[in-house]
Amino acid sequence: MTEVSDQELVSRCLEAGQSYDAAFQALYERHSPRVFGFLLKLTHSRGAAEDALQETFLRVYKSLERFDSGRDLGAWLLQIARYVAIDAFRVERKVKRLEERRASEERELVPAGESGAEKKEREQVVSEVMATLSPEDRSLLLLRHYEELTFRAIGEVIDCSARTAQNRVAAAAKRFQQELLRRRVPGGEL
Amino acid sequence: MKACDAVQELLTAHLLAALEPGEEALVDEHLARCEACATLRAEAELAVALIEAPPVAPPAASWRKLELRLQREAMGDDPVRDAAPSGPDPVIALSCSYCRGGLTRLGAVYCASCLAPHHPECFSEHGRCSVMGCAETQVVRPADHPALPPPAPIVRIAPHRERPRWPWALAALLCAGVGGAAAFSLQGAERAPTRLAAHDREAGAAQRYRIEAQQATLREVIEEVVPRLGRSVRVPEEALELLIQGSWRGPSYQAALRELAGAFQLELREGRGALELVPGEDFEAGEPAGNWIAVDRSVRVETHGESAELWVGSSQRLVGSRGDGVAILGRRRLRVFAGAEQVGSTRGRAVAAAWSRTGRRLCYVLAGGLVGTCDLSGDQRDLADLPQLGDEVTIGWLDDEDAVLLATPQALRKLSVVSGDALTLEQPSPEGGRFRVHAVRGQRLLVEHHRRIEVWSREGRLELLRSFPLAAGYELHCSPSGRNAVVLTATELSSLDLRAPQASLSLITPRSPKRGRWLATLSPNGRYLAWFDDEDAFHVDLEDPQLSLRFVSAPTLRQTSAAVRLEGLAWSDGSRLAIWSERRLWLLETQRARSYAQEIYRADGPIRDLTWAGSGLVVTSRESARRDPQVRVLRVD
Repeated sequence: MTEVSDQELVSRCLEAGQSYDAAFQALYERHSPRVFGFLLKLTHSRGAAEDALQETFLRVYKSLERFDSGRDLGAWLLQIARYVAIDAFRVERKVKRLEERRASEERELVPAGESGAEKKEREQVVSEVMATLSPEDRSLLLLRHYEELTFRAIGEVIDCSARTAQNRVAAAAKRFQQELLRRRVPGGEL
Repeated sequence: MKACDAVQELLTAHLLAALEPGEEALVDEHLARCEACATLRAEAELAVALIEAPPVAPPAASWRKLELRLQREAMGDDPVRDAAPSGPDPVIALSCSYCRGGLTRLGAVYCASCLAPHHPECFSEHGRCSVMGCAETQVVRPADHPALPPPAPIVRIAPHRERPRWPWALAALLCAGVGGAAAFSLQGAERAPTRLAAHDREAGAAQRYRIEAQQATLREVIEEVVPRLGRSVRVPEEALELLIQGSWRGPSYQAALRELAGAFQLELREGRGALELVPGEDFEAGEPAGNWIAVDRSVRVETHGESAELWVGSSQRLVGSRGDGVAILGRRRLRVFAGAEQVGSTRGRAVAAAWSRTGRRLCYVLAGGLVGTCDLSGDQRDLADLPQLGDEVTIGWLDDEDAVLLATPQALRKLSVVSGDALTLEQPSPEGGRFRVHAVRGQRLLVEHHRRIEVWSREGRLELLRSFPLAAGYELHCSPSGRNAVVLTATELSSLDLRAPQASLSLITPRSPKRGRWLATLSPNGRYLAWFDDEDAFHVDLEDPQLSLRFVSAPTLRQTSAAVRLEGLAWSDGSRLAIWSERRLWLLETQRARSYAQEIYRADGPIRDLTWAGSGLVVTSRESARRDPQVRVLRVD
């Protein structure tokens, strides 16, 4: 099974020019689960994540020719997705409503089949803690921990220096930890 | 308690390696003596592990909706634009940044740095751009028709003959308008002989070159000019490859680059995620300038001056080839790089990976038993599903690269990478031994098996040729060539000539209890051995019938012998040996009559890793285990 590289797919999209091309669909199919998962965590709403996913790929389609092939396409997509999600929060001012939706939709996000009531409880706490953070903070923690990016790479995603990225990750981590400690039962575990 | 509160707030940042060195030291110190905070840290670690965004398949209708929007986009059917009130095109009024008077687009001159419009006479009167903080003295003018003819190139690359002249004043830097064609005049600045990539050598061009530049070195010119074209540029030290990064897929950028390439009389090459501008003629060939570099928690990939860096969790590891290939085995995925470019990846944890001897192909085994290959061109294939492999598997490539050996504690298997057919060669021995493939060379195979090192022939079928017993508590190092092995035990250091017709054990030195720990390393070809203990360092040519030991001396080593504790050794090929202590690095030319080690480097932080790469040494040092490492490339000519 030979898989066409991202770079090759991007080249094919560019060759197709204005007309929509199957290569772009292949890119979408390859990367949309990762981007959608990321957006779900940022927006805490399936509907908002779906809208943001479409907007993300629309922006990708329009700006594909500006893509630097030296970069990881996945990281670039996350960068755009992050902007789209944060824009949605800022412009639509839906934070409060989304928080309300979150409670009902959160259940969808918990993967089925996880073992152990304790782990589930901890997942619930972490999920609630993450929900209290801003989308910016959530995205920083995800980029550093889950996507395993260096501070330099995070800096590219959020458009700042590596040093600033490190400081912002540290600040987000501090807020996460404070919220975590706040929810801790005295003398007990999380 | 106050200290506990302060530390507890920093635990997540500590886990993400995001603290400043001072804070980190504070947390480390506190955790070492406060059990309650250490417990909290363990809890935080469990919580942080749950920060994740696993891939989720979007709803099926999502693509259809997007497709409709894309089609509308392609047809120019933009609802937002259509909804806008119709009317005359907007007029953009310009005003002079100096006198604030009105301007027409064609009547203005624009600052070459910030593009602020000025009356030509205002700019002359002021002598420079009038925008605060911008002291640009050059201007650009708009094109009066869309397509300007390309400017005539004035840059010359000529054979190197004379010393540089440095007349400053970068003349007539930019002409052209938006999109940026550059025209500049350069003569007479010397550049050092350049290292070029391997493919350039293969192209056959090989002469010393020089760049005639009137006002600056090529580096200065490029750094001056290219940003004006709206792009960034990074010129590696001593390298002529000019890696121009940016949105280089766009047509305007491509056109600009072509013009730039024309101006420099350079050949344009695309590849490895970067655009290389290589002189078309008259340059000197050299060794490849870069290679991959492995460090503990970060990976820096460098190829031909291009680099990428990845943060790697502590549970991950790196498998590098002898060439540009490097594989990162992560908790959730395996990523394969050719130089700085990622060429393959898999979802799932890889339990083993090995590069073929030529370094062109990687074989990997994922948890669950899926075996696959990936080559440097990105050709990635699933070969076979062998769930019986488990997690304790080692991979050895056969020389002709058509098959791999997969050794597990239970069995030795051969797997064709062409057909994916697996053949079990050996079942476990009655003693319950474990198979571990050490080297495959030609028709010979070295397998560590139940406290024995065994030499097998794989001609026709697998056949045991020799077996060498190993003492209890041994540490075994086999040379990749399969020629020699070194065995360290608590009491002795021995070499094994694995080609000898009978089992032979050559005692190098008995170990006196007072000499403490030691460390030994074989050269890649297996011929040379070097080791040190707490007091001295030695090396020996194992082909020498006398096996004469050579003592490594160095003034700095002697002067500070009480303080210097050697930490590691690394052979280049057999002629050079790098020896390092916590922060200092010595180089020994072993072919010289005197074994004299020269101190060549002192690191800012403790040296964590050292690798020979291309034409130099790559030294990784790090102030603390949680800081991103510093990587230095030391050229050794």
